[in-house]
Amino acid sequence: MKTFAEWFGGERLALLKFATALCADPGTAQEVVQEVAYRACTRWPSIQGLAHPDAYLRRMVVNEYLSWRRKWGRLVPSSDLVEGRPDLERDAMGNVDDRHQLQAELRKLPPRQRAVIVLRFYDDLDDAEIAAALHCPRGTVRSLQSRALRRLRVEMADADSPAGPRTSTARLVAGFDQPKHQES
Amino acid sequence: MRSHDDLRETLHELAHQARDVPDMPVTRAVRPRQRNRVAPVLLTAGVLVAVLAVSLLGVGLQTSLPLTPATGPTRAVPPPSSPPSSAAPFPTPSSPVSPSASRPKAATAPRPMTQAEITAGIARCMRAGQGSVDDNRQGKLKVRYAVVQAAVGYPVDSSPRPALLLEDDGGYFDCSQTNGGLWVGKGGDHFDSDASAAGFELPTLTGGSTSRCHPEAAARVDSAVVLRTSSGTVSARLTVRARGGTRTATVPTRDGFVYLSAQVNGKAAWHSWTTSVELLDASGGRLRIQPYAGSVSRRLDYPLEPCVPDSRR
Repeated sequence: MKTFAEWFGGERLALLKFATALCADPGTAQEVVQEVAYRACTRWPSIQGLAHPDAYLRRMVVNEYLSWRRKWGRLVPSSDLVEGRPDLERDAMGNVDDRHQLQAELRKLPPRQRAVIVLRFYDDLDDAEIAAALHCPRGTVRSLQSRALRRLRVEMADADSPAGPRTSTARLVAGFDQPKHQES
Repeated sequence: MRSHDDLRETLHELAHQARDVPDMPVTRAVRPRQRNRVAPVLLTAGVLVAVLAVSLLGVGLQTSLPLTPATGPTRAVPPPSSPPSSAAPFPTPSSPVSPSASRPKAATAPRPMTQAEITAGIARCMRAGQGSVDDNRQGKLKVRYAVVQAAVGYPVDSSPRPALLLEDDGGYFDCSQTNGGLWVGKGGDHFDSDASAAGFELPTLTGGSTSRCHPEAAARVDSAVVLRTSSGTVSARLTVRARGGTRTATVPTRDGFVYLSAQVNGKAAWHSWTTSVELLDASGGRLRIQPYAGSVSRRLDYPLEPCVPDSRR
């Protein structure tokens, strides 16, 4: 049986990256992961018994991120006019760095829309898995995603079925609602 | 139009900005929460002690607090000529500011807080027992912004509320009515200034939001934004865009700071809303703002989370 510290040592970085994609801010991600780590630490005996504790912690991160913003989030402003600092903002051809722009637009998304986008395009979850993670109907997931993609000016086609290789997390999250306990 | 791959790669780039903290799991997460385990006991004891202290000391709080009003141009303590009617302490849940009392036009205009209001506000803010306040006190407090002003509200204008901002060596304390006890450290990583961008406004603080979402009662979402502005800024314009309408108000800066509060009430609180801030010069022209190094804007948008029905959480 691993202790929480031993187990978390191997999962910390992946969880932190996931949280950073979700929060779009490394500092906020640290706070969210710290909070989740504490709660997981105090409930480690029961979490350890789950079939997929890493997936469980990711769901805790999503919930903590959403509730944290509701409690008292430091608002992070976003600017809608990109100019100045041409060395950072534009490439050699004078075009605005679209990746930089897209990051800025991701930061502007409301938390739930961003959560859906991250779960879909970072974790490669499908509608049902996202709905389970966010405790909402599939229709809500679709509408949140549709609105977010429209705001980000990302093509809508095939958005409902995640493309690319599905991560192990994607498969694990599907079992959130009926966690399986390891056989001892 | 961007592709899904663009979005995926951008998210992975964002993820790689993660800052690993090897000692995160136990040492940094557990310590503050251990205190929270005994919070109910401490809170009860604290309330009893506070009641006793207030009853015994009365206005003695004024002298026992390490309050040092800022000197020179940063001083925000109101002049002694403030109207006597404004000398009441901060409104509390048991003695709310009556909307009817705020109807007269003079009452809705921003006015400096009285010394009594400031003292009461500090006492309330600092005795809140919040971890962020307790952990981050460094040196003496200075009053940076102390104004009673109306929030920009939708669909109805809200009553005036105190906006009290304190500063010490380590950071700022937002002691406003609805957002009491928020601490923001100095030298944070949110706003990296760019020395080459002379003339740009550099906000150094931001804000947050709180919500009271009861479908059966009046839902309300509050938001506050605090900015430190450069000398060229005379006022800030706050625009609230909520479902069904837009409200705008202009708030003058005080000693280089501006505190903007917004509120969305009722049905509009259940839908996404946005506040926007523009900084204005003496002629009313919009100034350029540099929220981050390399990013320049004439407007800062703060997208806000609306109330969420319990069934959807």
